[in-house]
Amino acid sequence: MSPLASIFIREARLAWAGGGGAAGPAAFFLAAITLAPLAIGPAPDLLAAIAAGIMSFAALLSVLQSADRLFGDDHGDGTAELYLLSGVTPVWLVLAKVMGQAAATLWPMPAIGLVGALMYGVPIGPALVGALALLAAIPALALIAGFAGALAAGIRRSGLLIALIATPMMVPVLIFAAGAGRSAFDGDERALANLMLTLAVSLGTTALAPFGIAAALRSRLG
Amino acid sequence: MLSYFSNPQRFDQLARVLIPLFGGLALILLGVGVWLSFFASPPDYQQGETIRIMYVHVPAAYMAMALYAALAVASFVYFVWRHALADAAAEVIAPLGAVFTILALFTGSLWGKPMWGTWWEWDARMTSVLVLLLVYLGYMALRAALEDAQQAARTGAILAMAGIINLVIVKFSVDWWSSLHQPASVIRFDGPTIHASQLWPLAVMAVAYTFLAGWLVLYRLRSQALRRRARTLQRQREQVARQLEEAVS
Amino acid sequence: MSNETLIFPDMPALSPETLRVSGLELARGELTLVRDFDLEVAPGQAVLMSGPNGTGKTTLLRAIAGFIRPEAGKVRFGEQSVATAAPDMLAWLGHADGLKPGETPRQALRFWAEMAGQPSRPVLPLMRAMAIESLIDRPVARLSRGQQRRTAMVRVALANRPIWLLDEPAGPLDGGGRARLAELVAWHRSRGGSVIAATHQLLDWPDAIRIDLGAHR
Repeated sequence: MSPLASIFIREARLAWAGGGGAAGPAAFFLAAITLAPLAIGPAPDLLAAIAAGIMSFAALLSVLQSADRLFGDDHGDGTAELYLLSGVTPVWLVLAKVMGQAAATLWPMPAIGLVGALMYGVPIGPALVGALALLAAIPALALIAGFAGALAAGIRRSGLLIALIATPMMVPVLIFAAGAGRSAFDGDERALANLMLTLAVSLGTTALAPFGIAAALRSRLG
Repeated sequence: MLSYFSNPQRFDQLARVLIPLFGGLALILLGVGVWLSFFASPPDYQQGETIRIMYVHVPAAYMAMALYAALAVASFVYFVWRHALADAAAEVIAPLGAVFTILALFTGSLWGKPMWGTWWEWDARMTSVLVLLLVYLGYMALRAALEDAQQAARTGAILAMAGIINLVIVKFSVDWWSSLHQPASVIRFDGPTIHASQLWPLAVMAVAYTFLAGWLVLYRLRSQALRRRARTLQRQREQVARQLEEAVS
Repeated sequence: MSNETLIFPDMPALSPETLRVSGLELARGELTLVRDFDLEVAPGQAVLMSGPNGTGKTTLLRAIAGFIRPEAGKVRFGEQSVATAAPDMLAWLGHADGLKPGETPRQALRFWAEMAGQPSRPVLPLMRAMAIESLIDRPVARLSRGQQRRTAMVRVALANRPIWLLDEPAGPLDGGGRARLAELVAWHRSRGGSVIAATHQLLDWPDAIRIDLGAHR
């Protein structure tokens, strides 16, 4: 098995088993979806209109939840040095790592987003578009969270710092992913465009973020 | 990383000339700019006297963005060539940029109130400037959180460079986001609504702000250089003291 | 320590190189830790770096490994620089063990063997040599610090690299652990490998070059 595949599987297994695995982001997502109507009021028309926005927003926050552990753990227990010395190209290494963790912990998000949208009174069609947009957004969200986590690796109580760093970078994917669901609900023909843009941002992030993450990892080791 | 501030003579010489020059120019141009903005230019036919806030707001917004560009360039220079002055410049520019951003947001809100009736409007430019503020704050927070100066410099540089790429995409996405609900564009910077009598105060204020920023950056760079030199001497003194102690014991 | 002879597994031959450090200058912030440091470690040699905390032992090791870029000087393995050759030449043991609390030694060691391009067959013999073979399936979180350190040493040996960089290897080890560590190092040296260890403990390795960093400023 190639080293990259080993890394992917190991990171996925560690993320699955340790620290709650997929339960962490999922639980946060559910909590946020539950709290929002309590804060906003139960007016059905309002909830249906803002559902796409709330789902994307809550998903974004859920991804940030576990960001500090993504590279913070490796920084603290010496794994970062071993990874760097392993001979695997750092850019591919970090991509495999982040994707492994994302695969293990973020897979429920689109499903929860779908259920949430339905609970907010969104018809099945737009709700599916919203869920699809969330799926398309996951690579961008995971990699940006990874970048912020790598920069802040090992800093104590870095949650707030990571959120501050990551949020400006998540603005585009949030706009497009939420826009897709909203457009589908409003019926204003931009849904496909927004979906494509979400995918484009995710692909672009997949191409660029690993360089930033690898550089950040290196700079924090010295 | 060490070398530059242990012998900052070249920078000192340059600073000695530029700092009073920039300071003087800033003062003069600000004076002229304020006079032009608040006294010598006519009120806008649509907005009346409230147009005058634009002369403070628009250059501030421009400075906020220009300073981030400068931050990104300094970060790039440091990342590639490891020049300590570039890192010090980045460190010094960030809070200044943040202040200009806050100024732009505050004056933008003041300008908007008479026109929109609300203290804030989620239009493309104001929202982009708000995101820019978050970017500045994130950069400053990251540098502050890292104790090792070298790590702070290098990691900060990576974030700053990523930030400038991100800001380009943010600008596009925020424009896209607001384009669905484009209000009647009262605040148009370019185009036929800008009159020559408005262009002059705007330009003078923009140049004045630039020299003001330049003066502040150079001034703070010089203080940074002195502070780092003092710290180096302090640490060297402690090191020698420790060596003496060990030699004796 | 019992008088059993430790049996070490057969492993593919090393291709040892001489490590050459020349003119190394390291600084932390604006404080020079190490100036004009030279070191040559031939195959089969061991270097013990001692010195009080903060003198730069760890920094020096990290610079040799290539994690830190020095202010001046070079680190070479034979003819190659550290940047190109480190993954093939070095096995690293830092302050932390590089083990995840949720994994077992078997999982960890198999993974790192795979990453090093080495077979997993020597895992059990090496663990036996470090007297921890019964713990192979116990999660790392339930191992003592000393047992974790021994597992980490197995990982180092498993990588089958010529040069070992060890930062405080004996820290949490008891007398028995230190003896086993010494045997492991001796076996490595007998195969042509070399070891550089930073330690503030007294380690009794035969014919080791001792460097006191307190005197190298």
